[in-house]
Amino acid sequence: MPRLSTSILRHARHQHPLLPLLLRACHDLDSARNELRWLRKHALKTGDSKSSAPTWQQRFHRLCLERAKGVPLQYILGTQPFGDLEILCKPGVLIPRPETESITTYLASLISSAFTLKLSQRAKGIDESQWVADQKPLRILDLCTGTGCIPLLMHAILSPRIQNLRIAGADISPTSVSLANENLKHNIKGGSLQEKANEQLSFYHADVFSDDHCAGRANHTVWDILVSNPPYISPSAFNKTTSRSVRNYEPKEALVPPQNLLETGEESIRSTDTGDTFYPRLLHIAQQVHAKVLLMEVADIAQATRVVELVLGTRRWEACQIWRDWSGARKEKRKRKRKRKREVILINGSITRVMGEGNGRAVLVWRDGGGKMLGLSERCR
Amino acid sequence: MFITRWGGSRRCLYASRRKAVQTWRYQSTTTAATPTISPALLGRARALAVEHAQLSKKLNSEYDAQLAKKAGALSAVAEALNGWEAAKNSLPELQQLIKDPSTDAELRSLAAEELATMNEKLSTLSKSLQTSLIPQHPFADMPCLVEIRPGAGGNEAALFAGDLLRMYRAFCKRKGLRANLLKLDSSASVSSDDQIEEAVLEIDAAGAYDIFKCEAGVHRVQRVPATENKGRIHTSAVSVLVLPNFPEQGDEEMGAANIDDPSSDYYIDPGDVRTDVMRARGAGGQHVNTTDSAVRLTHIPTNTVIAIQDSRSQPKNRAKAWQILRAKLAQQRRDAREEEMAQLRVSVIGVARMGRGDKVRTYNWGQQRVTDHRSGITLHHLDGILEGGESLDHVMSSVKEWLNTRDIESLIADEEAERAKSEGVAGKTHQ
Repeated sequence: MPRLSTSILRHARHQHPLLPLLLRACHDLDSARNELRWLRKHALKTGDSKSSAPTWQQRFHRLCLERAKGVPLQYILGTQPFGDLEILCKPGVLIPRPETESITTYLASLISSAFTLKLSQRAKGIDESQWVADQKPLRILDLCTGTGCIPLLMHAILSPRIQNLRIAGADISPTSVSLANENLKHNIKGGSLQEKANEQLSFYHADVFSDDHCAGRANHTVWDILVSNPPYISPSAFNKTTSRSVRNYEPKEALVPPQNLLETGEESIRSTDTGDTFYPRLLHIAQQVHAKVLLMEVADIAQATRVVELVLGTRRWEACQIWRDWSGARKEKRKRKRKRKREVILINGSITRVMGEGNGRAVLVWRDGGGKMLGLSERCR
Repeated sequence: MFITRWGGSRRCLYASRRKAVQTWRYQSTTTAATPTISPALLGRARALAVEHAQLSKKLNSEYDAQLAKKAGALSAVAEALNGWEAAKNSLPELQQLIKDPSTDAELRSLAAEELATMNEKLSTLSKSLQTSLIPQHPFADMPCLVEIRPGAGGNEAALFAGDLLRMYRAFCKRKGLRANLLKLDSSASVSSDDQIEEAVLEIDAAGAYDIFKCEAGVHRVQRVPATENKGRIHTSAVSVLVLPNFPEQGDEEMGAANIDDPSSDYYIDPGDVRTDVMRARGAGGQHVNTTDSAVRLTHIPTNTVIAIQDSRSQPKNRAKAWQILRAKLAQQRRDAREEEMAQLRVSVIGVARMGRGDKVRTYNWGQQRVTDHRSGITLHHLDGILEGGESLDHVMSSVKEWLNTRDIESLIADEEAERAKSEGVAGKTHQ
């Protein structure tokens, strides 16, 4: 971690006496100033009318001290914006990341525009609302859901178009499940989710690795789309590349796959890198629930390549794509086109498309008309 | 009895005669005061009325939304012209009636009264005819963004920018306009909201652009600032920009304002805009929990930069940045066009355009005075104005009136230039 220069500290102190504290956590003046503003707003907002309660300045100071220790801002403020939603965050549950926000928004926008296209191609003489109501329900399952951010955002984006939705999120941690349910209520109350989300969205407690975990919930139902942001950091990377705030304050079980599985687990798990534990299992579950589309978040392009190799090994999927961090932003599409042509990489003799800019962030695979569901048609070659 | 009757009628006679004389004089003064419409404007009004008649005829046979809109815009001109012409035509009749020696006294007095009211009516009618002729500003119906930025004067200017922001917010609150702070960069000391580096206020009401149009320009302040310890009076300046606010999705009704249509004047090619967002240093994703949500847009051809970091949500910051960028570029393009028009006009009658850099209003604390340099109005009710009260309405409406007269002047200039051109062409062809 680079040392902060004295000049920047002096500069910060001149601007605000509490700013140097935040510089310890932020390392750059602009974001420290933003955080100072947000913390101040928070301190002012959460007032207590009791006379014995600390004044807002005292609270403000305490919040800054906490942040200086490295406590994530999202835990201090208790929320993180995610799309149009406001997701509640609590210690013990992973904070939603902007990269996850980006790929979720992109996936949902693909589904939504493909649906609109299908709607416009419906047979003549069929009423639009009638057609929409007649559609089979679209079922989406999110494994390792954490705060529930992915299912919630999918519902927020899809429900104005698609009437018939069934979305579920599962997590191994009971804290996560209760927080996800809280988030559902919170966002309905805040008006960013429709009232029908209550019936169409659900969260339950489940272990991805136990065979009977989803009995009656996932295994025995069909899910069209499977999404997951599983723990994907290897223990060595956890020590080297994660930031201090993540390492010390966010739940390790949401970041690093459990290691005891390595001794007892299946062959395929043992042979892969320790960060890849979840992916074979996710492919297996996708098989069980007859998923047509599977989107998995990954750490970088190297892990994405390993996952694509796994996918190709199963020989059950029609096509796959790798998404980078900022895959969706429609506004920049033209610029990207101008700059370079389609990016592809060759994995095991098959060409895989890479979309967007930034780090490799997700692997998308589909089959049996899953491509149509997303408005994508190309194949692995 | 006989005598009294005689005397009574004589008095009556005198009275009526005196009254007649009075009205004559009255009429002569009003004729001088009647704002005559320049023949150029009248010609334009007649042409527009003819167009309106044709449009309504077309609309009767076949309905078309676009045509209906156009006809609606022209109907004001046609109506005003009709009223004006009717009033104008009745004038000679009345005058004839009064001049005619055979008219009996009672009728004459009635006619004189009628003439007086008619003259009054005529003057309001010609005013409304003139205003109806002013082409509607393309952004007039839109909601707007008000950007406040301190100019010369350091901290004091930043403080005054805060005062202005409060003034506009109070004004909006009183008027029931929904105002929403889109962007607020406080300067050095983060702790105070008083000092502003840049603020953008979104006023989300149709027609807000028209209301705030008159506020654009440099606002000057003269006072002993809070930061001054020797009691000297400082003069600082704050610039206010008023930008049109485009709706998120351009719908077809908007016409020129449809920003998604590449043929529109206000279309921005996304390829021309460079977006700089936070790129996680290193691995990103689960490895870091960054809070950096700043977005910076750069429109490369004009080198316009918009940086937003107010919200914790990056998509929201991006949306805000696009909103402001669109507004700024639209205003720039509009300004360029107006500049072109003004250049043409200067050659005819020398009506120059008031630039953005010109000082429009002075707020003087020592004298508790606000002077608008365009309309020339001076009010000694500084506090009321800074609270966004009714005094601010007075100032704004006086400026609006001033803008109207200027618009009419330039309209006449345009019309005359046009006529000179066409006459020149006609002359040439004749030769």
